[in-house]
Amino acid sequence: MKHSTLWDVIVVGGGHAGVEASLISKHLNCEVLIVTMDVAALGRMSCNPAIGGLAKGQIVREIDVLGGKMATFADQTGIQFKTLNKTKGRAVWSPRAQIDKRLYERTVVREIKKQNINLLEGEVVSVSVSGEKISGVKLRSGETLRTKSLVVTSGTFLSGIIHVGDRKILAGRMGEERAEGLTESLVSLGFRSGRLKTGTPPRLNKHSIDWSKTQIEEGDKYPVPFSYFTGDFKPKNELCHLVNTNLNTHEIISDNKNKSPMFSGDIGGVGPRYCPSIEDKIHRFSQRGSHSLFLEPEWENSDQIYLNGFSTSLPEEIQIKALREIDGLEKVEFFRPGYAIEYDFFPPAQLKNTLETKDVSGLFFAGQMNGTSGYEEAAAQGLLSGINAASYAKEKEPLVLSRSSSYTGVMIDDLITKDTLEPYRMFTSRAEYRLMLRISNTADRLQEDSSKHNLLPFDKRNILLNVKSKRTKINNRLKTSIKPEHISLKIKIPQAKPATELIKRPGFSIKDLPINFYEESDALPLWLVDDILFDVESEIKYEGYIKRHLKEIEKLKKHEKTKIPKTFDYNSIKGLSKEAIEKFNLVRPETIGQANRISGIKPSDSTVLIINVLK
Amino acid sequence: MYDSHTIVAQATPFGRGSVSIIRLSGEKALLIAQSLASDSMVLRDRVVVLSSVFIDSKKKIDEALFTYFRNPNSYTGEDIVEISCHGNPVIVDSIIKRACFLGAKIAEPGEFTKRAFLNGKLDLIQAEAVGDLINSRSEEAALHQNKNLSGSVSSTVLKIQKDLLSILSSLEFEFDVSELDTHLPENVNNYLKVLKNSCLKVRSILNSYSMGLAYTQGLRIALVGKPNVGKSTLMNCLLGENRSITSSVSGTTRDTITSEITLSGVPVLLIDTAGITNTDNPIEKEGVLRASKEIERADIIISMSSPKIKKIETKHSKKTIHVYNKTDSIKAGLVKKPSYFYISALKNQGVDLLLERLKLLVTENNFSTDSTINNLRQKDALEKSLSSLTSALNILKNNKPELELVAFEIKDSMNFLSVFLGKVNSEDVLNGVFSNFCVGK
Repeated sequence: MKHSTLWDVIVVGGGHAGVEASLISKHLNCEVLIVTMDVAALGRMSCNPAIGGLAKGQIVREIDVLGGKMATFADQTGIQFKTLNKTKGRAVWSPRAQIDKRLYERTVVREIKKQNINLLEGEVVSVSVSGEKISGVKLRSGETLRTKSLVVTSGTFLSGIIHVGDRKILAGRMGEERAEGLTESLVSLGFRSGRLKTGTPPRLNKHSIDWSKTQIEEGDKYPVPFSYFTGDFKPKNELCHLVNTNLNTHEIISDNKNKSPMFSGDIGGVGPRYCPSIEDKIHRFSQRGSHSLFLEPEWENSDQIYLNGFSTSLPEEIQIKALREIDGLEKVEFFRPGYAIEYDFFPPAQLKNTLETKDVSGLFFAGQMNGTSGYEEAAAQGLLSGINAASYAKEKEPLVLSRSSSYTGVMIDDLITKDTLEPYRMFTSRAEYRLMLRISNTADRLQEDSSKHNLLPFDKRNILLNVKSKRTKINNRLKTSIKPEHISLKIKIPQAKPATELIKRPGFSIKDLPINFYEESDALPLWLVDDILFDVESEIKYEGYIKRHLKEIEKLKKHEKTKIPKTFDYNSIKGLSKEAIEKFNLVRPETIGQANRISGIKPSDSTVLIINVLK
Repeated sequence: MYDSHTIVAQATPFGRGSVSIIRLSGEKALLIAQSLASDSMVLRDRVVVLSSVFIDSKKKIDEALFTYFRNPNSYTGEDIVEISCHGNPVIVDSIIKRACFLGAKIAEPGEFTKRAFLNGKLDLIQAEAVGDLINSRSEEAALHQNKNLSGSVSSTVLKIQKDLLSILSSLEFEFDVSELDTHLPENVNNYLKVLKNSCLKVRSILNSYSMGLAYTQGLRIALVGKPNVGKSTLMNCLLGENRSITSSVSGTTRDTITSEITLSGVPVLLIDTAGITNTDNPIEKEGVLRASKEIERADIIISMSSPKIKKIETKHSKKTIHVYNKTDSIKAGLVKKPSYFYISALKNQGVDLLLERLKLLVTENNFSTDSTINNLRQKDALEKSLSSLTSALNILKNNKPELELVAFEIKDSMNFLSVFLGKVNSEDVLNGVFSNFCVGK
């Protein structure tokens, strides 16, 4: 490897953000280098052995359409698949998979190698800037590297401190060294940094659990993959198990909650928020006598069991004591206790909607360092920052996703306009156009962006085109009118009716129509045709609601397009409240739309701003 | 940046007068004006035309003058038609309603000015001046809308909002946190119960609207003073009938008593408040609390005192008339202050002068000018809120309810309740700008 090379993109960190950033920029014909402290830890799943889940499943499929790899990795390494929220409404359906962590890491490494991405083991301690542009990085070894663009994905490693009760360990993850110096280097360039905390539950020894006392959780009978490109899908279906906490457990935890550095008590929150620690859950939902805990294998036949739902930073002996009150865990032993980790993050209002920093061009931040939590959130940011770093290096148009196009768009917009007081996790309720952001219309929503930016190889792009044309075909066939004698016993109609009108009836499914939608020429796996059928049905059933969403989007469009000049002087505007001036100066919104969404901005302030920008 | 609806509003102050002007602005202004008038009317730019005004195909309600201002040479830069009709609230209301039926929308406060600004007609409007105005006035505007609601109505609406919020949180918990659906059936039952209840409540407020109970039109004049100063007696005097119970036992009026009268053609609500005094009697305490609320909501305050009973010092900036009652009980030697009215409500002495002064005040100051418009707008918000609630309820009654749609409808319904309460919708940013102007401007 020539170290005098001028790289197109250097990616700092090899977690889920770093992996996506490097793979996509490589696909976009960039010279890419990953610098990571441990090349063996690429794509490591540091917390739960699962991908997807509520609101996150949608993100994974968005990643898929935008040229990312997480969906494919998950499909290849999943050991149980399940779609959540099936009883709650079609737009909130979220796929989730239990993952074999070891296999996942191996799969990621294989892909990085296959794509010939350059790897360098080392610790970045500072970034170099020339003018207002990024120019390179310096490693702890003293070596310097030159680059056109830089994506920093430092995860929880910057000045990481692990807490187990009052025990403190300096580390980036349990057993892995932390990174030092980069924060200071960025701060000296004028960036603001802060500290965040997140936690992980204990890992249990499989043989110390009495499995006969646990409840069994199965995967879906007809599993659906994350990726459009997975083809026919017959994954493993390993059993999962669950146990329930009881009042004795709760009492032990309540009595000791002051020993937990992660316990936030009443500070920072009303109601349920980002996956709370068990001590928080017991405090906040004190009326609930029991919480479910999932026993998840970390890999196939793993001895190590991840105790989902019991994230904690209580002292180890309290954790054990509380758990041993639970049926099935009377004799439980740990491989590793639950812990909290504290790390540096960079308030993401310092970023543009491309994830490039506002002050240093060519410098991008992605993942947990932006104050998010979760693999999926990190991967989506990694992907976007990779796309835009490549665009920057190649002098092309950046990709910006709107709030109405995707959860990824919602997330990035939230990050750059809202105050981050706790790790940001995606929720469906964060999307105001939730009914339009369905897992089943992901291709529909993002295909245009994807092809415009060349994010997919030829064969995959073709599959999406097939999906699109199948959709059109189905819609065309629905234009037929259905005669009474052709309809099943399910409903009775007096005269012929358009098919779409029948679908609008509650309880009536597109599959109840006397139309065969499956064709030999589909060239699509069965699950995918079903997925399209389901979405066409959703679109018809939800037509009225979608129209209301569209109307709202149209109304706000102008605000999104009205740009605020970069050098706009908020201080000189009469009529803005002091608080608004402070916030606008801090965030420096790029558009009126962003300005309106900054937390705490009153309508009167945004109006004054609009008038002055339009003046 | 605004919808291109044609808007309509009364441009002159609310109430009776010789002439009221109704202003139409937008693409359809000409068409609507034409439909309001007789078929033979021909409107030309800047020419005043006399025509009958019809509120349905046959029913003539008034004779009025129509003036057409062709775009862009008008106040808003759009087509404008001004209709000068007789200054009777009933006529004005009917014409506005008819215009709405014909496709106009009632203007938001300041919407005419907003359109003028956006069409580049008001380059003189200094953004700074507008900014100052917004900051000083936006809260006041919300207060103003709320003021005309009776207290029980706004507290009911707040309660409904609270109930809806609790279901919404529970729904969002289901979507975003709970991975199981074990509690779903019992939750749905609870949602049904709350929604039914909320529907009932909103419907009953709407009913009270049509009976005119929810809303008090016109000016509010509050009689304020310590117990036994003679508030009820004065009120009876002003009303000319025995409305309040009067007795010499202090604290007879524990509740606030209201009566409507007309002064110089303007509807006025007289409010007899309970005497304000420090008391431990819980019933009276309640009355005292209401009295202070009434002061908040009043446009004019009559502050009363009498021999041995001093006036109450309260902090407010309302127009206040000082009345010294019970002059009949003084033998001689009263030193009169110039700005005070000296009366004996019991013997009906000096009350006529007070009445004259009130009439003058009422016509001089147009206090709640846009109350009719607010009334219509609030009713509209309630109706929309009810319709969303009903949809939510219907979805829930299905066999397998789509809970995300229920959440959608509840959110919508809560938004409309906020509009009802006079909150500015943060999305409609620009609409807030000029809302401090009167509706017809």
